[in-house]
Amino acid sequence: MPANIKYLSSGGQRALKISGSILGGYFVSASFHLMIACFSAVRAYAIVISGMTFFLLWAVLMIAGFLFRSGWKLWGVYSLLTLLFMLVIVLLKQDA
Amino acid sequence: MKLKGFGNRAYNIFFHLHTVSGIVISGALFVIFFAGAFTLFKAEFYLWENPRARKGSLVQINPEEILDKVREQLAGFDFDDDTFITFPTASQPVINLYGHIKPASGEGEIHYAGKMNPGDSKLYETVESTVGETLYRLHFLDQIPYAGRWLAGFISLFFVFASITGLLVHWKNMLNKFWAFSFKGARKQVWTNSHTVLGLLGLPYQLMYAVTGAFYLLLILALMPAVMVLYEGKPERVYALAYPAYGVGYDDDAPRAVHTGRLAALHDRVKGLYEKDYDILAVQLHHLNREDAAVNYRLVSRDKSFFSSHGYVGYRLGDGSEIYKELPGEGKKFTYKVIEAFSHLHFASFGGMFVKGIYFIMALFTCYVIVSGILIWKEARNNRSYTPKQKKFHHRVTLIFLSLCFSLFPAIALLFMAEIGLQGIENHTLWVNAAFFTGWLALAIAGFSLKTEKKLTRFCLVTGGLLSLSVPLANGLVTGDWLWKTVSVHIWGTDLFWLLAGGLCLALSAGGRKPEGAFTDDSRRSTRQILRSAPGFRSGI
Repeated sequence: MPANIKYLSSGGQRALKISGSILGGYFVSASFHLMIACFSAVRAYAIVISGMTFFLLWAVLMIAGFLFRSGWKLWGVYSLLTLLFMLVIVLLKQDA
Repeated sequence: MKLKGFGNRAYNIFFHLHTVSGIVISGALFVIFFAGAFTLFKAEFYLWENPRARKGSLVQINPEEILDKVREQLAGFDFDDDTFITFPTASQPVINLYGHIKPASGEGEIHYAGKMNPGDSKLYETVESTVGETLYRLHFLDQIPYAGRWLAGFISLFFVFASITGLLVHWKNMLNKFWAFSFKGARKQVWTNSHTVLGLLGLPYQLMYAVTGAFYLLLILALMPAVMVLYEGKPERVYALAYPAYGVGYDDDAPRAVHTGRLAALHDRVKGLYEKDYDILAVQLHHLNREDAAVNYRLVSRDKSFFSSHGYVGYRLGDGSEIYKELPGEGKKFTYKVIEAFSHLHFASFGGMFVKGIYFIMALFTCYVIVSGILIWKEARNNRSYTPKQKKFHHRVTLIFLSLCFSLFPAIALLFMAEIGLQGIENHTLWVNAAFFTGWLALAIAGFSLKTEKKLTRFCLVTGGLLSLSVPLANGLVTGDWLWKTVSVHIWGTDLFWLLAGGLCLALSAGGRKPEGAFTDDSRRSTRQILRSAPGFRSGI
């Protein structure tokens, strides 16, 4: 039996969720991994292990994106997370 | 025992995501896993596919001699650029050479890949045989120009997505479904149960392939931020984290130098030091005619207790000084171990034939999970809430999918036959590939035209069985190396595989002739009955 459509969104909301999950998920995963790699003590480990965790996190974020009730909220949360991680990156880079 | 489930909303969302992502990637994913399963044995059937190599010898040649032969036979070879040599092995008694050729204009570079026969030191660029290569490239859709690798990469990524959503859908019943091998009940229930059970048992394997597949094909997306921000846009500095050879520094203005005899002496030294415990896999050279020439050896330990068993040693050719030494069990860096471990996991290169055999079977299980997923998708929509037009569409999609996927097996048998049958003709590779791809298309169209899943399946089993049985026959007729006459396990092993596969297919096609088909029309049963038999239906279980 297919999924009950009353829980699924359609039209513009669906487009927002698909785009936000794929693109937003990428940017959150990328900025998060870059932030970890900015700590020079763990940089080498973080980069080689990201060969696995990068794609796992991206996929998990893609799934989580569809649980948002509003596509706008999804874009908002993922943008904020990306900005937050990037802020930390900028601060760490200035110290170094 | 039951785990706490998700709410109705989350469950239905996960279910829908699993269905949609699964349907979208299913066809290509089947091809990737099926071609990949054969690719696991690429090195093992190399001797089978290339009869000329069967007479090859395992003469050990010094890399300096190899390069002398290259100098004699190949004009314009750039000895200063990266040159990579792999040494002959029992299954592949041939030297592989990768390097660069300076074009006459002096601008840019041309990549060169050739092979050298250690017996007569003849270098040849034309690929002599292609079965392994064709299947290897098919398993990341490389035959599709430009887009193929990206497509395969995103399919891997969405396979991570589909695997995790599949796990979430069955979360609540994971523990009691774990051993739910059941052949009772309606056929659809058998499909759904086996989809769940094999999907769950295979989850670690499938997730590993999904992630390592994405790693190989989409690595640039993961590394780009770090390369741009932390390594001044120089990717080789990131690669140096994985392989020490990338970390060796070179001066582009280093003065020219002549190193005659030094490479041969160094090779003897490396052999003396490491031959006792290691096999020498390959050597990489750079700036060979300059003062800062470096030689990077890749070794593999014969000690079975190491998972990441490769060892790396690098030397400056000028004074023979050691640049780095990273050996398993002797302080090899963690970062080198990790990236190497990814490759051992992906290529099953850590446990010999036993592990490869398990990988092969697991790949076929994964193909089964993909096919049963499509069948569940169709059967779940085979009820009164769908119009006949919709049902017809579902049926056509299923048929297209099945005909493309099931005809791949006979087409692979055809590929093996074409390889051995079209010996010595001009443009050999082109003709063999043409036979494979047109054969695949023709078989798929023929299967599709049979209109029912059952006839299609039987058609592919019969053609696959007959073609499989012909593979050892073709080998015997063309090369004279009949199954019972060859000593090399790589040759008779390949023949035996096809013989058994052919027998199994014909046996399967002869069995299950009962009138009650695997895909009986469920439309007479009430919707409620169908709902109740579906896995994980919330009220039922």
